[in-house]
Amino acid sequence: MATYHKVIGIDLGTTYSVVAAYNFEKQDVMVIPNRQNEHTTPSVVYINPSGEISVGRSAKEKQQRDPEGVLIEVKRLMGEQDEAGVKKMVVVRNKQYHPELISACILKELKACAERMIGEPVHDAVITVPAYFKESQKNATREAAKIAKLNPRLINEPTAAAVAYGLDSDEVQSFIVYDFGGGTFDVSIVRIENENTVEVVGIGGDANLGGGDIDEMLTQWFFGKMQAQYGSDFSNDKRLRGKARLEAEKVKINLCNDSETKVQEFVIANPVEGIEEACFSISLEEFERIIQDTLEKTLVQVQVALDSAQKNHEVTLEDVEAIILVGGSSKIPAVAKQLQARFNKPIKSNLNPDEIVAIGAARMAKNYEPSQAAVIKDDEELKPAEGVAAIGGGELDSTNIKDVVSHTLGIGLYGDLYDPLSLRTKSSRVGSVAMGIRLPRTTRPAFILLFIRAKTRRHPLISTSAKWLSAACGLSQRAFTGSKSRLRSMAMACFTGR
Amino acid sequence: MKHLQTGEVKAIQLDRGLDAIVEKKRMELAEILATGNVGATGGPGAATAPAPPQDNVSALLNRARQLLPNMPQPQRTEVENAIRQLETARSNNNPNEMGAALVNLTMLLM
Ligand SMILES: Nc1ncnc2c1ncn2[C@@H]1O[C@H](COP(=O)(O)OP(=O)(O)OP(=O)(O)O)[C@@H](O)[C@H]1O
Ligand SMILES: [Mg+2]
Repeated sequence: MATYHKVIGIDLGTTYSVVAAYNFEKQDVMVIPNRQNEHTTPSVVYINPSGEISVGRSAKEKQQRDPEGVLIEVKRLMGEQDEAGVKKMVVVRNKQYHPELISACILKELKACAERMIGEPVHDAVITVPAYFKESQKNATREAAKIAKLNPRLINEPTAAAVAYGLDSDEVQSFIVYDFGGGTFDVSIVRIENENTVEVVGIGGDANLGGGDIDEMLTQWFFGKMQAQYGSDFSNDKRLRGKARLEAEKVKINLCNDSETKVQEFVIANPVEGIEEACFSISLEEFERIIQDTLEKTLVQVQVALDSAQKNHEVTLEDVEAIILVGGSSKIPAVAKQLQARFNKPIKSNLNPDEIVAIGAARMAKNYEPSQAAVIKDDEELKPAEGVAAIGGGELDSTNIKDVVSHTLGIGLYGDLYDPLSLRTKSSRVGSVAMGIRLPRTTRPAFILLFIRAKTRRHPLISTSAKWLSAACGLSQRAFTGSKSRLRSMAMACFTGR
Repeated sequence: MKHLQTGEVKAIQLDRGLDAIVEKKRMELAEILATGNVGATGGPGAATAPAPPQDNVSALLNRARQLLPNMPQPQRTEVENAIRQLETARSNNNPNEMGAALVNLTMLLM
């Protein structure tokens, strides 16, 4: 038996990514180091002028020398359109790339690290996505995985975080998962009903708030100091900006990790011609003052998530057991302090907040059987392992994950009319379709506005899947068996209200 | 979009999944990625113009035409008929006919 389970877990973050796998000998999930022997890999891709790709730290460092070729935060473009309805693309030196391809570069690198460690080819991955991701964003993530020759299975990041902490209680437990990452801030209320069911019951957050914004604030602070000292504004110098951003992140991390020292130096050699070195010192106090407004915004969103959990699932702060810290930026000392003060709950941070999502994903991955090859030609989903107990055993083998449906579902009628569906339950089981959706029989939808996807071949909007139709129409699944063309006409009948 | 139950009008961006990568494109990208080189950037003519915005019906029609050459025969005829049905409905400006034609073509393309 191989030492590692060959279905890996991947936290595909906006700024950093992490890969992990279950190790049978150690009976635990291990985070897999990258080529630099680090546990986290920058989600950064560099394309040099002749088209060669590099990924990770070396790519990130190119920000100083050739910022034009450096691609950051591609996760923000995945499955998105601009206002005019045109697909968002990545642009490097006037050439466009599909975001899926750039994301696949990162996945390919993580897969390679895992294969080096496992010593065998890897074809499957449980990949985490934010709880608020729309179907188009999830779809783009699945495509990226397939391009990187991985069979994907997606789960929510906060769910993975809760799973990483284990499901060791018999009681219903709820957690606040506070995920302050590099590009985004997400907070989720996760309820663990029993060892089989983990459910996201409320979400809040800010898709444009993360450690990067903090680095940017520090960079601004640096340019302010430069201006005060040298009398001119250097903030339009692209290369200096690149250097200052990298230094800002270093200074931030040192300040947060080393709270003994309290003061750090912000140093840049040869910032501009004629200046040998720029050096300014900053204290933890001053740093925390700079970011206070940002922290306050996150606390407001925690309350938003709690309110939504209460409204939709009657889960209140009283039910919350603890706060789970996720994401590199949650390591800022003021975060735990202020959360504790505001919500008065214990803080769980014994697992590294950078790694916890990947660890949870790898735990979930144990439920899936490795495939013989990556299926990039067709839309076969990863199958749950049969007789999983034989592989590992343990508490997670039959975990059932429910996800929130993060966007309104509805029927679009021709002529720009929109009829939202009332959901019997707000959650759906991963891998299947939202249960309990009923199409009003009298409406005549031209198409279904769907953010959930049944097993369709090419078109992610509607499906002839018997399972989906029966769920959608509230009829028994048996009503929908038959040939494909029969299914199609049944679907037609349902969709047109006959 | 107008909310049928409340009458409220909201700007909703419809996502018909038309931007999704199709199998052929996926295979192509996978091949590119396997080589580790995405081709020289910045050379003359490297820039590709962004696709012009389309209305949704045209987008569906274009996609249908795009897929047509690779379809097996019986399906192909069906799709050709559905395209015609949709075009006729559109030129007649008949919402009911058009609704049915849209569903029909969408289903066939799945
Ligand atoms: N010790 C630390 N103190 C403060 N910030 C840190 C520390 N370590 C890492 N960070 C910051 O955390 C951020 C990365 O966090 P993480 O890896 O969780 O992000 P991500 O998962 O890529 O982003 P997202 O969750 O937005 O997709 C970076 O901005 C990084 O500078
Ligand atoms: Mg993250």
